[in-house]
Amino acid sequence: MKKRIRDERLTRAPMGDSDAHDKVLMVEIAGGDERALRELIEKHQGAVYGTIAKMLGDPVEAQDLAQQVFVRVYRAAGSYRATAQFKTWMFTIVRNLVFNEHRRRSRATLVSLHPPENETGHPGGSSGIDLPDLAIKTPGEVMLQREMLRKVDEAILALPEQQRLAIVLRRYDEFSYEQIAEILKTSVPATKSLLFRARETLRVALQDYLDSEGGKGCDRK
Amino acid sequence: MKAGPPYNSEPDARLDENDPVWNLLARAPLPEPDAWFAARTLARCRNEELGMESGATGLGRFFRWTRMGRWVFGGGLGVCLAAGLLVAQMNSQKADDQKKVQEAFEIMATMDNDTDSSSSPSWQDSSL
Repeated sequence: MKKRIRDERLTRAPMGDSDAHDKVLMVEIAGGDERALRELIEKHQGAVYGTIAKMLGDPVEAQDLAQQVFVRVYRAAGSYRATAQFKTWMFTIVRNLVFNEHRRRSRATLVSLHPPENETGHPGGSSGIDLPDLAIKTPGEVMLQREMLRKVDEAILALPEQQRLAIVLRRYDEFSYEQIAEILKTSVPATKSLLFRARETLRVALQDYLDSEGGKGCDRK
Repeated sequence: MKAGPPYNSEPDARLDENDPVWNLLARAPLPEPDAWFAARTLARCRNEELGMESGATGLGRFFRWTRMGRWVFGGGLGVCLAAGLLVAQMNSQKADDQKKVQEAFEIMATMDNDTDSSSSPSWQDSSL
């Protein structure tokens, strides 16, 4: 019976409709299909891990939290009701875990095991996140580029958590204002306000780079 | 007045595209997880499931028994209290009865004394 419902859903969901496909995968996961779970993880791991890493600036912690997100999705598969978009629902889990981690960090006095920024010798910067391979020829340009990326990450990390998540969801995950509002449990105007303030803060923090760029490279997304 | 976002100046998407901050942020993309992330996450999901199952057979059973034990203990305590109250009530009633009997005997005793003192023979009366 369950199999038949699943099949019906599969035939109803067009392949292009990502959200419907996610919901079908959730039904399959609830039925104990490990292949569906793997597919769901592989589909969303980039967005989930990347968002958490941007939010925390700690790749090790990000990996643990991203795994926890998928474990929660897996556990909730049986009781999952497709009332909202799957991705919005999943990012609500991301939000809860990231904010809990922030609270835990603010309570605990942490002593970092990572060496200080200047002693690492790793040009990736203080965040420790692996930066993309830069297709720029001279080592000087590579250094400048990496420095800029590090400053961008630092500026994002310096934002208050709500603004930070709003900007990451909007810029990198390309969520709509309505979806961000749902994830942050706030209104659409409040979300727009958060994004506006975040942009203004980033504009001030990254002023040097914005001036030096002067529109150069703005064509790259 | 506090400055707010320009809600109605132009469509939001175009606003994003024209913002140099937005374009600068795009130069620092989201970091990617390593190649084994999915495999590790799957393994963790499996472990969590196993953990939950063992919890259901071990801890879960214990908690189920504890829950039942709580009801049994509560019920037993209630019965004991009711029995105690009943016994106490019966005892107090018995004590009351004993007291009443004792009082009755005391009254009878005083009546006997009165009768004894008032019933002296007439020949012993010196006034005659």
